Amino acid sequence: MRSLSASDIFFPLLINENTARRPTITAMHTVEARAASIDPFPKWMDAAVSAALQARGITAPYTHQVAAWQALLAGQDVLVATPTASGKSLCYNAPVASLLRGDPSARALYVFPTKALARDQETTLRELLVAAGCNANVAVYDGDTPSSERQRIRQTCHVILTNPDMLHAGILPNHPSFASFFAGLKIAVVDEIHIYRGVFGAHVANVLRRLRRVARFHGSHPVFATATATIANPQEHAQHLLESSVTVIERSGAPTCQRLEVIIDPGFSDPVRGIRRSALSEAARLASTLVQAGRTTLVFCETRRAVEVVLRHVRRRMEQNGLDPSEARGYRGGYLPGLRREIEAQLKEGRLRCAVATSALELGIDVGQLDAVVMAGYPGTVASFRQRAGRAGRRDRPSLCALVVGASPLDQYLARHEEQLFDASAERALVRPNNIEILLRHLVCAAFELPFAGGDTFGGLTVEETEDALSCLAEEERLQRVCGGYVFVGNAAVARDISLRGSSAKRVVVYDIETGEQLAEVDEVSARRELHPHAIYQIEGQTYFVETLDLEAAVARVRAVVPTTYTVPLSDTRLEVMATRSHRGILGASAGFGDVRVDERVTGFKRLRIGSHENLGTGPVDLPAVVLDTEAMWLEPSGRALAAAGLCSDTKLLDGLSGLSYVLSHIAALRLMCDPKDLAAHVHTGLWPLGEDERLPRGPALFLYDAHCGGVGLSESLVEQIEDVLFEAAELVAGCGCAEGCPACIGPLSGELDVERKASVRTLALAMCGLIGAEGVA
Amino acid sequence: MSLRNKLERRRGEDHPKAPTTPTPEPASSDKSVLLESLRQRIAQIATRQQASPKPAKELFDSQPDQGGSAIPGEEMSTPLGPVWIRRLVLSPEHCHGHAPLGGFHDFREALCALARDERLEGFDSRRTLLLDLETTGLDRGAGTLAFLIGTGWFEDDGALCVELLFCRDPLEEKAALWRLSEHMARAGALLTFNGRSFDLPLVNTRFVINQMKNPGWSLPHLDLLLAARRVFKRRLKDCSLGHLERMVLGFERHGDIPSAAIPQAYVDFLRGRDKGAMAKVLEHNVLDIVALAALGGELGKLYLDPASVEHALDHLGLACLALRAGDAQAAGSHLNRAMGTGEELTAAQAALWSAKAAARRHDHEKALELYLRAIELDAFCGPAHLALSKLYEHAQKDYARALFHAKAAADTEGEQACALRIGRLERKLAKDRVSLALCDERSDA
Repeated sequence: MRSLSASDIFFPLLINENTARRPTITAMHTVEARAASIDPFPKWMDAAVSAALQARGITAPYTHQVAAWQALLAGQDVLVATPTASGKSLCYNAPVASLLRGDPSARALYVFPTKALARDQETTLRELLVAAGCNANVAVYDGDTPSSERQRIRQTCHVILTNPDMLHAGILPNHPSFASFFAGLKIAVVDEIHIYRGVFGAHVANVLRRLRRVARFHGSHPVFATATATIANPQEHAQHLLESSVTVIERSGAPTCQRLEVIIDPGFSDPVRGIRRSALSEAARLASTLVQAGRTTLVFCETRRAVEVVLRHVRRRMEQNGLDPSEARGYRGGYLPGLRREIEAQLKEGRLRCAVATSALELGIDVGQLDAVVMAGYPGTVASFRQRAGRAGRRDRPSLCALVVGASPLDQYLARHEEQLFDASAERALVRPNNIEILLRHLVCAAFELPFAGGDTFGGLTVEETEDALSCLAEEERLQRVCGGYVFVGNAAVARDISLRGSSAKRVVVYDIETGEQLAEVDEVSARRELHPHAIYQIEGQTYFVETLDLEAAVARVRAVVPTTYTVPLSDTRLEVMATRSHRGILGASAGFGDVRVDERVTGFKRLRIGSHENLGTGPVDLPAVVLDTEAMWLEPSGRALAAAGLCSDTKLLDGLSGLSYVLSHIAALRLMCDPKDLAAHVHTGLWPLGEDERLPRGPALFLYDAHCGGVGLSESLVEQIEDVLFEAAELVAGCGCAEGCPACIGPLSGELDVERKASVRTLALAMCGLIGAEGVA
Repeated sequence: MSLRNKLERRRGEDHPKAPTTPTPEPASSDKSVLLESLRQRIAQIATRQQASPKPAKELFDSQPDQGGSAIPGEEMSTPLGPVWIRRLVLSPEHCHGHAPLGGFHDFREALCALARDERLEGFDSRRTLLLDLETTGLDRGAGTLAFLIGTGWFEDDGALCVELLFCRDPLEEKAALWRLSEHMARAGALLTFNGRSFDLPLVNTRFVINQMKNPGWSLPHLDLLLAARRVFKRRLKDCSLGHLERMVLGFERHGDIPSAAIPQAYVDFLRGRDKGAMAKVLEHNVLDIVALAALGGELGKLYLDPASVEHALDHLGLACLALRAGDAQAAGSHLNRAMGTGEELTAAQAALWSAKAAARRHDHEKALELYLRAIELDAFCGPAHLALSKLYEHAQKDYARALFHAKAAADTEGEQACALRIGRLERKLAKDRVSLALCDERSDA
């Protein structure tokens, strides 16, 4: 008898739901098992290290591991881009162990995006070193390290594990106290580099520039061993981040088991009003069924509160079915480190039936073997989806990965275009180390660490660019010019004031006025739109009324209410094109890209009734304007395209372009591996000021701009693939089951009811990318 | 768009200009102007000083010269470039407040105890280097500059020589450090105020950044903050140098620049804005060095001469210092004086410490006497009751008394441990009574 396949095991569990409201399985896909491909241990590897590995069951390493080792030995920077659970950490741990055994003065630095990962790797590495008979000191140096231990770690540790934030604010500014560590630094390990994209990536790229600069000062030139989850552009991303030529290792030699991947759509509860069933309860129900069938299950939720909701549901079901509810546990940020370690250990030892987690458990923490992974909502990127899917099925038995889609356009689009998830290459990770605001801030930090002499360079900048940037800082009196060089003179711990996570904008914390509970953190710009006084704020299916917004203190206080109305901010946005950098005609529009200045002021709000969208009146808002210098791409539809879509009146034009920009920003988020909020939209239908540059837009246009000061490369990358994005937008609109537009496609209605609005947005998108002529469907 | 265009946009220029050649460095011209103006001022000062040499004493009693916005001193050339130097010599009789500077030399035997460093035993105080930095900030990171290094030492005749090394721009730091390392190489010990956690790590950072050897790393070090805190913390909440100067030395600074304003003063100086403030910073640094010398002498005097101590609480602090240094004699004399004062709580504390010292010597009789004295002075002295309970139980086998004191020590010992002790003592007492009764019976029989 042949052994059971993944679909034999899991399909009955998926459909055997004893419920009237059966969800739809919109896609199903089996990833076949693959055998291991191995190589012998290389001869140069320290015998004790290979013996230690063999003693732990690794009789022969995988091909990608050996390839990484060889490249590192040859002094090349390496990027390992193989899937989750393919033994990536051994790619750097084994050479580090071998190096430390051979050279007692050698030092290694490990950088992980989270504290939890550093702690996890500390244990793994220490076990390997002990097994290999190497008495090197290994320690985590982060915000949780007691100050009494820090001096010992600085002076005696061979391996320091940390995170980019600590490297930036704690280690580099104090590099003289790490003098012997930096002098001996041979390997810098930077794992999970796909996390370092966008604003965070630009910061980290500059931190790595500073790391190299400080290492060079102490006489060392470390080789970089990096690793990433699946992204479309590993080579490019590593080169942008490290600014060196990087050897990329993508072909995994690790075996995989068979995995069934499904997408589940909970469907509408009220298709007319466009109200969908909750993905959370669907995910909880599925998890309970799986647990009941004896399958260990990991549920991923997008927020901390969602974790608690799902956990409560699963535990109740377990209790009803006679299982011990304590065998289901939550795992999220906000749990104390000790508790997290305990849950990790329980998972690893197979003592849990179910775990409900946020992305905190997504990165490389070793959680052992699980039968099924359920995602309540699309995690935002394909890379993250694969990372989570890889958590299932480490054993030699089939596994399940189920994505329960939510109500967002992205989720709904994927439910109908599963190839984007299963077949397409993952997203590109974008990083722009030379984002001007970020670069300048890190130059100040770099000058704090070591003064700049005339003719010095910083990272990949030329001598002239470095000089220009430094002299700009001198003019702003952030640096002092001294005899052709630049010195930091001031009473401030500059690095501590710069957060790597997020741009300059403050985060506004949202508190429930009644319970005092912290509900969310919102960046300052979004806060003006979503959290102005009297706004209706929705998060995780809960509705709140905003009582106060204090931008100074960065606090908003809200009160839970019964959802009957919603608000739409009325803002006065001005967008000025400062310079056109590229411009081209596509079939039904012209597409441009350049620098813009956006001046946005929320002036009031409109209150509407949920369901009927009846306008209940407006109110004023008095908040200061935000000025953002950033990059944007714009689309100026041709007259023919506008005519084809029937956008003849001003109202229709505004509605049509707004609807399209809403869809586009969501499709763009899918392609560019960013949050839809990272790209903001603006529609211009009035007159333009006269300009000399003929490449400036002249007529009605829609803009998508990077919502971060200076731009992070999103709109630039988007304009290159705009035809595909337009086509996908049209597909998304066509595929949505709603009647006249909903938050899952062209966004909530802002004006009068217009039954043609949805169709005209679709037509406009197709006309712009040339698939529809002026006469109708081609 | 190139980086340069973006930078220009940032500067508020709406229309990017065609790339131009970089503007010539104004820094060099800035610097020559600065140097020229400095030279002129130095010349002025030189003539003024020749005309009316000021006695050093007056320098410190009067406010800094109102018209003197220039930086006093002279340029010194070193193999690593020039640095600005200001020197002052103060006679051993010069008093800072009521403390003469000569005191440091007179009471040098106390140094070893004050520093808790045996390497200072029999040390020549003339080889002590006094060190105090003025910096661009309190952060100890790589970017905090020590733009003013104040040093001081005692000449053979007991005079205090103060030498300030001032960096007119950050590039002169190398030369300043070179001069400092010369002083350090000659020195046998370092004297600072809060140097352990601030000045010395910062100096080390500066040596590392300038890729120079730090000759001061292995020198024995006396951090007066640690010693002063140990001595005065019972009496003074604030043990900053300024406060000690006022409360212990009786010296009041007038027109002194507040420490918090010093980093900005240097920034302003570099930007050519306010030189007067910098002159005040140098004055401030001189006073810090002088205060350091005077405070060292005063602490030494108080330590070695218990009769000179005015506040009974200070005796406790000094005794604590002596006990930690293993100097039983000094500890004894301070404790005896403290016991003799009218302040009963202080005296009780002194009696308690003396008793503990006696107990450590296994002089149980003396210890018993002193513990009883402590209780006499302070009936609620829990530690004394506890110690007495133990002494009576184990050394004297007097369970009744032991029980009495055990009950009085409840707050000190903690409820649970105390209950155990009381229970045990009651059992022993009961047993004793039985055997006593038996004895009585026998004798009756």
